[in-house]
Amino acid sequence: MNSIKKSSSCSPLLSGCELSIAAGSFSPLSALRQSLIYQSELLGIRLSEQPEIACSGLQLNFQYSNALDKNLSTFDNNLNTFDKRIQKPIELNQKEKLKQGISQVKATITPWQNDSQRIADESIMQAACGMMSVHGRAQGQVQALGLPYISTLTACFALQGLLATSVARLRGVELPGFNLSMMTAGLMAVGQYIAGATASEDAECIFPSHCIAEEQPPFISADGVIFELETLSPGPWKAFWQRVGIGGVLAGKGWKAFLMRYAKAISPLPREMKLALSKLTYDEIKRVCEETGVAICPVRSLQQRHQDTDFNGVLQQGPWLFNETSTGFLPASACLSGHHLPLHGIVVVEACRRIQGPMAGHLLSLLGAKVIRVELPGGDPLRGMLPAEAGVSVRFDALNRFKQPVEIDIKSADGQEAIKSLIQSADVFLHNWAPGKAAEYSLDSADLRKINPQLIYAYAGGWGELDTQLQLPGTDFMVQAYSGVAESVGRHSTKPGGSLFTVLDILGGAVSSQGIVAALLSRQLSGDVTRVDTSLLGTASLLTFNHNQSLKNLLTKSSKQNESCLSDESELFGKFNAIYSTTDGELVLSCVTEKNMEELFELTGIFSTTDSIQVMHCLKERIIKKSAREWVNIFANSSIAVAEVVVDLAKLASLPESSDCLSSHPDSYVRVMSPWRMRSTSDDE
Amino acid sequence: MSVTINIPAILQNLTHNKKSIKTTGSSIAEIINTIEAEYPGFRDRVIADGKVHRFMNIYVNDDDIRFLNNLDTKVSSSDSITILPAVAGG
Amino acid sequence: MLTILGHLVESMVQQAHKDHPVETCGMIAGSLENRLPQRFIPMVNKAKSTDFFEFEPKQYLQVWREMEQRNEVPVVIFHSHTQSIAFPGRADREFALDPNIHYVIISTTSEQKNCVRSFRICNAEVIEERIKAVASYLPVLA
Repeated sequence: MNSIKKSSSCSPLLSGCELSIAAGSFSPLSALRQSLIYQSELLGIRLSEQPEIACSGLQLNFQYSNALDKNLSTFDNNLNTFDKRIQKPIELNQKEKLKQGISQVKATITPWQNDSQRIADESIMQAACGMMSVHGRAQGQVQALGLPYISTLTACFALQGLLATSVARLRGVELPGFNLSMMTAGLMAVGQYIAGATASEDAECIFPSHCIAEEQPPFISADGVIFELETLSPGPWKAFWQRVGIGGVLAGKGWKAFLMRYAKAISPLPREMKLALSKLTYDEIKRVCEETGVAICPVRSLQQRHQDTDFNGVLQQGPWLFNETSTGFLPASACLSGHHLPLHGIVVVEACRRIQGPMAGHLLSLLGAKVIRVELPGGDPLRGMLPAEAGVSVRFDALNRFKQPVEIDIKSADGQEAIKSLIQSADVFLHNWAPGKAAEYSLDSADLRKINPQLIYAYAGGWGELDTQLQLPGTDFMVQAYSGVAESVGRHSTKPGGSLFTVLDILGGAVSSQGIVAALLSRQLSGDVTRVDTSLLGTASLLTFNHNQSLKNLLTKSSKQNESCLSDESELFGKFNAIYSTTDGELVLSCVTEKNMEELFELTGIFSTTDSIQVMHCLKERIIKKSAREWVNIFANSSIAVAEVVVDLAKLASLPESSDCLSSHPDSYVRVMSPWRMRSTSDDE
Repeated sequence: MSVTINIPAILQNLTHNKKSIKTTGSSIAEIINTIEAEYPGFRDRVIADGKVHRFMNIYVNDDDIRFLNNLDTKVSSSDSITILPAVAGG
Repeated sequence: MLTILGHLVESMVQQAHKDHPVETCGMIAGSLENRLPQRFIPMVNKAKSTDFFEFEPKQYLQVWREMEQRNEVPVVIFHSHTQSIAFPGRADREFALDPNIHYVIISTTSEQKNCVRSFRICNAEVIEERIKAVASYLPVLA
């Protein structure tokens, strides 16, 4: 495969590493595969494709042995000159081949956690993990997120697991590989909502059918511009609404609803609010925003985003920026055999609030890192958010339960010294402070590198390189609007605009931890220490990369696969893909290829016809006659992908498809377990 | 009385890249002290806690001095002394 | 990178199996000029242990004298791990004093199945290197 040309002149971070992908012969996971290929190429990993295998997923083999030589270039130059004279690699018979150097790190990726044969596609997984329910809250009905969300997240987890396992092997932890399912990735994405819905006291019962789409953001102006508002404090909010004729009581009610977005994926605003704005033009509203300090961003299309001057750079660089690289230090090594998590012994200092950064820290802790979490004196205020168990918000606990909290006032000189002393023995420092704050606190990468030259400095921000250019808060909903994600989501939903499910915060957290793990591997391979910057905006382009025509052409050309196109919307959602009513709930069905249609007709008892509208109509009539579970059983061994749409998140822990990924105790909320199931032997299963 | 000592490659940076040194002394301990006087830092690489460093082997002719009289092993002018880094591990 | 003749890798593995469960040990000598592993030298493990090895001192002195005469240096020092992975343990790192030497470890545990890895060690810090097995050391004609 050709590599995507990089805008920067430096060589990609993980050049010399190799990934081979074997896809299941009946795998409809092209979105996952393409995202994996895109992410690997961005990191400089060489790709090869293996023959198809009999499995519904992907089998991955990762090798870094060719990248090992990078670390010796500073060690000795003499040998290299001699090595160059020596060619002719020995032809070892495959059978006799010794496991020289490092055997491969292996991973098996399946849609379902506990059934390696059952097929699925993006929409099926969104239904089965509860994502349709969470996204559907603000839509007033269960709804697919019209993006390859779980596919992208799973690809990100897959690569990150391979890189982390490689770090482990280079540190003397012998781990052969892991298994990963789209199901656990999907559950991880909605983990906080599952926590809220299963708390032992005050559990939230938010069902899409109880919510009213019209009450939710975004807003529409008199001249038809769809837009999002954002402010992180009530003062500007109150002033803004006052200026458009909404009084304090209503504005206060609205503020409460507005704050609920991040936690509950709903924001039932008093109707008067949206109505008031619908009478003003966008320019008028914008002026009020400017005067009151509320941020405003129109819901822009992907096409608009693609025309931005920074866009091509972002697409070619990928969601991570690795820079400020310094060389010369050998990585610390340790013989850690006997441990079973890949990042055991790695110390991360996390100074993050809200969702994105804590999610990154959470994933690193699931991979075995020790994560020290810097919180404000008195603790992170989100600890108090209800519902709570033992005095700690379950939603907070879902993202922070494996971390060691320390209370530090980063604004004080003493606090900054305290961080510096933590940094001395850390491998990673991760923060998501507002732009400029790190420099203000004297805790920027240059400051910390003086204390610990081996430190990987990571920043999980909002706008990436546009941080200084855009005068907008870098929050999930603003970035969704700006990046085209909101518009894309809206096109597949009942209402325009983005999702109130924190689409970018979650994926952004995964992208950040992935970048950190890639930097750890690079440090282990070459001694190079790099800074890792990720952003919600970069994450948005990762999520929508396959909508970009030029990149699509490039990838299609480079792919040896005889696939004619990338996963676009039609591939993302197979034929007759829809939510069907059954006697007891809803069912998603997806007919992945044309070939499967006969099977679909046979199993549902529909007469074969080429009129797809008629087929849909007949399907609706048939499917409503049986229960969702019955249909799942009927299609069990077929090539038709189906899943019950999980509406009540509290049911996930008892459903056979998801229960293996969740840990539930009678007196506590349901926790999503690590998506990486490390293998103990080198066998494939 | 002059004896010749073969110096291993990893200690030659201390001995100005000399592979062997001619020096005087009647026992290994004395010889090492003499070398130390000329090449500071040498003794600590070869001796620890009053014994031959566990990372080093010292031979008088064909014998490891751990099987002779350790650092008190006597040497005479015809003897050849060799220091080699121990090769060991777990 | 350790560039090495394929049959030398096989010799190391065979010897490791022969000595299992006791740790095997040995050297591969090469000329000082090109530092290519050439002459395979099995050594006696004085410790005769399943978790430690030490070159038998008298044999080691003999071998060292031979190498001096031939103008050779130890290019590879190898040993086996019979109960653990092929990665340098604490003692391995402490005793590894020469950063020019390729420290090769062969694991003979049933899970590891002949895993062979090569390391360079400096001040007890380990970095792994690739092993490139070749049929012969052929100089490429310019």
